[in-house]
Amino acid sequence: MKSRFWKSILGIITFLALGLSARAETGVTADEIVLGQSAAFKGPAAGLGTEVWRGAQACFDKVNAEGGVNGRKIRVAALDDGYEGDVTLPNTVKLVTQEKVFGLFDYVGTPTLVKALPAIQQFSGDGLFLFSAFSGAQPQREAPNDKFVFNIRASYRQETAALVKNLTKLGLKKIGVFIQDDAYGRSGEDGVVRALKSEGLTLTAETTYQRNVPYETSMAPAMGALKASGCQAVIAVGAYTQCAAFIRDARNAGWDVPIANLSFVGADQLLKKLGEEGKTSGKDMTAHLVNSQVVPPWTDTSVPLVAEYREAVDKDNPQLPAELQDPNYKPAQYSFGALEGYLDAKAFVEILKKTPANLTRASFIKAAESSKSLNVGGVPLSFSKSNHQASNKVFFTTVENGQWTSLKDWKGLVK
Amino acid sequence: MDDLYQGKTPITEFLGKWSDRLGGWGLRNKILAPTILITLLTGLVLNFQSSSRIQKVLHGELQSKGTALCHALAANAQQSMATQDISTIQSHIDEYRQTAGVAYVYVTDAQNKVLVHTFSPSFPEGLQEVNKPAPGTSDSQVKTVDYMNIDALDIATPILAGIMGTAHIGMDLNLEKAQVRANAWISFWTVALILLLGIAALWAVTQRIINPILALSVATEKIVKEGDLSQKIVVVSQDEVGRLAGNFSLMVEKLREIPLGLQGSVQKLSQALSGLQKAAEEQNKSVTAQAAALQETQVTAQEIKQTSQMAAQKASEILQLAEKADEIGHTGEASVEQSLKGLTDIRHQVLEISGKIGDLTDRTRQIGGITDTVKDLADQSNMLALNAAIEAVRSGEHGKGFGLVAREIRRLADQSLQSTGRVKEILDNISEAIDKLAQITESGSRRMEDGLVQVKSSGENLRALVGVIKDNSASVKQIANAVNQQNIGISQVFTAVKDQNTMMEETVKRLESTMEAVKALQEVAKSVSDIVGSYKV
Repeated sequence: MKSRFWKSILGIITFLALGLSARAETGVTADEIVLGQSAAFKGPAAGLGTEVWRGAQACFDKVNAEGGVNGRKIRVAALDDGYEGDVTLPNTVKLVTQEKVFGLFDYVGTPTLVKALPAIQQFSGDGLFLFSAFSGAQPQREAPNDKFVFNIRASYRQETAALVKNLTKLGLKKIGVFIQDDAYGRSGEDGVVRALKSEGLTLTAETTYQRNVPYETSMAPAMGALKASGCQAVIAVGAYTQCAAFIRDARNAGWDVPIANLSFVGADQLLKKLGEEGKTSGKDMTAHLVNSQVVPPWTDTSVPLVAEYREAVDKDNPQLPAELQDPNYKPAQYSFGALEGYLDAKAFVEILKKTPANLTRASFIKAAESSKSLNVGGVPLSFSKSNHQASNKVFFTTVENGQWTSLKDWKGLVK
Repeated sequence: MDDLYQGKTPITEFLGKWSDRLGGWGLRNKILAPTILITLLTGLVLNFQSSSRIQKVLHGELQSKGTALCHALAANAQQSMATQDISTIQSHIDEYRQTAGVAYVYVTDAQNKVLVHTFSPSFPEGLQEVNKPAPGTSDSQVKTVDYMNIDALDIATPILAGIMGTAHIGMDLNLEKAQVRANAWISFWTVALILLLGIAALWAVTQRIINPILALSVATEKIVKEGDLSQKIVVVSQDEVGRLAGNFSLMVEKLREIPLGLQGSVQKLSQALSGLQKAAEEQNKSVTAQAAALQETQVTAQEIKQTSQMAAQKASEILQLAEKADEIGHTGEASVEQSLKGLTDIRHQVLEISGKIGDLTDRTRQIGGITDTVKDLADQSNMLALNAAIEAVRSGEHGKGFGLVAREIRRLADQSLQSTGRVKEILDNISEAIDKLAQITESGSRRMEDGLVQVKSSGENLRALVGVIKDNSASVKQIANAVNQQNIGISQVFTAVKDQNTMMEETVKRLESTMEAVKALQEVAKSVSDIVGSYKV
């Protein structure tokens, strides 16, 4: 009797457990996991969103082709926000309430994400999370947002700190910033200021530009202000269109101080713009440039992750649905953005693999927070309950032979 | 008071000059000019009023909006600064900058160092010093900023009473100005449109007023210049001008009747005048004839007067002679007495007497002739007086006096005739006596030669002769008296004729003035006829 009683209790528990597990988690079915992404697919920053999406999609396509994770294929519901936060917020609400996504994935940009964060926080009560963002800004790395945002990449503070450290080592103590006049730019500037402070220095000059102004906009006033203040190096915290315009105007004015860009800039698009500009003006627009990166250069195929990414892209070469494509942007075969997207997707897949088949948001978060060491092949990743930023790695690249390569000698910047 | 009222001041002179100048304007300009002026003035005043009011309202709106935004920003920033990094604040201010009317947003820390801002390419150095609230306050401070091409209303709200910093929002005053300008333009174009429509409407209305007035003016000018009263004035409108034109038409109708009536009257007047002229001419003729007759009468009367005077003279001469004869008779008587003593002398004296008697006979005969002449004259005077009486009757009232005179003349003429008759009889007697005397004297003288005896008889005869002579002398005296009386009568006739002549002259003069009056009336009738003829009816 006793054993039967316990048997029946166990049976009820099992039934309840099965019943509960049968109640599917939002965005998860037996054969699909839906992720939501709001990014800049169109407009002057189209290259950023497009590349990140392409890299991630290459990874998901590869995994899906192999049968998915626990029989579930990963689909990304993508919406364009044109790099405007006022669109990102409604996009986020739409993704959560209408698309009913499992989680948010690879948002692009700081000003956009900053707008969405309060909403995500609101939805995080239902376990919603954002897995990785193409932004190194602080807001999503600080409370209360660091509870439901999982960052992969190193922060802008880390990028700028490393840049300042290396530039001051060269004797370049007068550093100015050219920043996008929004949360992203301010976040980068904040990093520069903090890094200079730790060196006992202050910011020499600050100039700004308006987000999303076209390439034709003259950056000469900003450049002139920086030059006039006696800056020896400039750290640009912007996107490729306007940073390319800044470099164009500086080099056309004969000002050849080192100009550093952050990972977010869209290095490949920047190089493409500068290459075209150099062709028309006959000047070398790519000298004395240094870019901090959060992934290794995609040219370095010795890194397993890079090799894997390139192989996946070569095989798949995913393209955005037609309605999300910007007619003016032609995707590059390989790019830093795509590589970062691939890395993010791969990290997601790896964690998903560690999550029990009975997938819930909570179980996924738990699996992520317990991923002390994720092997993605080249970039060490580690999450914990208190650490929601997987990588602290910053890479430096410069242009050699028309390609971004690892910076080996900082002194080359001041030659 | 009057001096003050009528006194010329520069202002009244100026106004007078202008009203004179305006007096030369057409009706349309007089209507249009004040309308345009008033509309423009109204438009300007309204534009100015609405502009200043809108500016006030906008300014208030801008300030309250900016203040509300800045309070919100300060509250947000306070939270973010406590827990988040700077990029979160930047993301807040990005939101505020997108609000219409916001020129810039910036946040400073407690040391008034600029943390975040929206300026591009760089923050205007020193702007944070322009509007700095005193530490320890929570109230917003508003200041107008005109700094480095920035024209804004800077609202500064302390964050946590200033211990965390200050939030600044700059509200764009250029926007406010642009809106005020836009409003000014809108009202300007509205006024311009209204003005254009008003001018068009007034134009149309004045056209309707001016056209009939012009038609009236043309018609009046035609009447004045060509006297054309035959034209018709057609005005359709029912307003005051229409009524004026209608009344004008009626007036022209009435005017047309005047020359027509005048024409008839002038014709009648002309006929009457020509009749009057004829009558006056005839009267003139008869009066002229009468005057000529009178003239003749006067001449004749003159002659009668002269003859009568001569007769009177002769009569007095005869009287003297008769007296002499009487004297001589007496002397003869004495001589006869003396003759007794000297007969020879007597014979000489008798011969002398005989000769004298012959002369006397001749004189008597002469007197007889004169008396005949006087009788003829009296007859003629009688006839003339009769004629004059007839004419006087014909002359009517004017001839009355003349008639009386004529009657008097006739009476005198009759008396003259009677006297002349008696003179003739006496003269005949004298003649007879003289003849007898001559015979006696002749026989006496013959007898004288014979003897002295006969002288005695001669003396007696002489005595008889003296008696006869005495009688003769009395007769001669009577004749002389009669002739004198006749002379007086003839003088009276002459005076009367002279008076009548004078009166006749006056009559002729009056007739002449009548003729002149008729002439003047004819001229008047002609000029009236000319005037009437100058109108086309």
